[in-house]
Amino acid sequence: MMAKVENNKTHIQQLTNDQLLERFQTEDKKIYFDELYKRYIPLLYGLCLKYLKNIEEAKNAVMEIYGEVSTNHSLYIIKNFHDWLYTFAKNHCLHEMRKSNSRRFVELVDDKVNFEKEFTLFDGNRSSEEEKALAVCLKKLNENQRKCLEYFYNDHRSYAEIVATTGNTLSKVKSYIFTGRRNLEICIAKELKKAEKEDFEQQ
Amino acid sequence: MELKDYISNREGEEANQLERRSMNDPFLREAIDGFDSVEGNHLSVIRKLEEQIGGKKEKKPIKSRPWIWIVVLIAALLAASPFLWKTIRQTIENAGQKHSNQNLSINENIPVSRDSALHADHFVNEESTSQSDSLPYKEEKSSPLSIPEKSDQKKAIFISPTLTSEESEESNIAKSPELQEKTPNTTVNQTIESKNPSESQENKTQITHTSSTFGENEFISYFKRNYDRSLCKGQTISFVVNFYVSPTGHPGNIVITENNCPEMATEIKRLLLGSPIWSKTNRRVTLQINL
Repeated sequence: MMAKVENNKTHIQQLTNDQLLERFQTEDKKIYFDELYKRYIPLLYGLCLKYLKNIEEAKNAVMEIYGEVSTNHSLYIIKNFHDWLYTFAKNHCLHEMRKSNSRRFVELVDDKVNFEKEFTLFDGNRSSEEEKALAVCLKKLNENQRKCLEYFYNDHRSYAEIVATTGNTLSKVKSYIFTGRRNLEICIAKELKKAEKEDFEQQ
Repeated sequence: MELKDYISNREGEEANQLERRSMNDPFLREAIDGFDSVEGNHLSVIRKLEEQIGGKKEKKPIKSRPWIWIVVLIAALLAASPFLWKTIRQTIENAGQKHSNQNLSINENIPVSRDSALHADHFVNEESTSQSDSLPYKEEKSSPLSIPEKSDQKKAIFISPTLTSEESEESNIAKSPELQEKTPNTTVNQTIESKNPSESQENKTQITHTSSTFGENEFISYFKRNYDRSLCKGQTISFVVNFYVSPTGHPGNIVITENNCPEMATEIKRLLLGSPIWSKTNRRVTLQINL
């Protein structure tokens, strides 16, 4: 009996998030949802910490979200649990913030910003045009942004390591990297368009 | 690297990979921001939260937790203890009552005849029983335990409850002024029909006895008052009886060691068993009575 339970537990732990969601949706067994939610606890707790700025409140919020999500009918039809849970949890935290009437400054993330292309540009193989554009754009960035981006993407240093190297605060390092990436993306896009235009004109 | 690992170790290439991933994942990015914004032992909090969620499904079956059964058993015993105690007490009381009723029936209320004394002679040991077995007993017209018919009612022995109220005492005493003189401190009244044919003219003889103390002397006078005078008539009767007064004050283990009138043996036992409660209990008594 015990061995059977253990086997079942191990089996569940080996399933991917998508498989767990699928099993839950088809078999309607809470054990799958619990395992899935358990995997999201660090993310949820961190998210709630960001908005609520309090460990206890964040803890409570995680449990409240669990209660609300587990009884939510949308759970049976959603396809992307990750994004759905993120939106659900964020809304919950924002609602909690409004309830407590606290004036907390929270930097809202623009979800629509997609750095995938730029990211690939940094890591993957680059064409001569892309290489050229990147070199031009990096020069256009301010020194802090450029340095932080280089440390982060070329040297594979973590935020903490960059903080230690540069002496800047963590928030500043993050800001340099984030803003630098955005500026770089815009710049590269412009440079590539420009190069395309020049090529077209030459032809 | 998982986010949990990242919380405890934010250095190295793996941490960098996670941070890079967070660039495309707002959920992860905001979570990292959250951990950066509030200081504390986040890992233990996460562990507790996981236990809270996981704990619900990881509950061991009751089978594997014998202490639960022990606790349940103890709780059940504690819960039932007043009832059990009550039941035990009731059983003991009932047993005691039954015993005392038995004695009462022998002592005071049930018609005390020689045959009934013989039947109820469970206190008498074998020695005395063998002696009494050989003794003839009086044939009675009706069984003392049977319900008397109307015509026999006068002859029947009436069972009167033990009265303790002064009123009942007074009324009984008032009915028998002679006896009132003899036993002024009466507490228990008995109405017994005398089986002595010589006394049968008086259908009912009220024997009023029992005083605040009852011992050897009281028994001798009680015996002299109540014994069947038709036995060994004209003969000087002398016997020595040995018995044990139980903690409840009832004579038992009756052994007649000397007796010059064998017919008297049953009468001795009858009167002993039917005697009032003895004051001094838990002792062996040897009595010599000369009539």
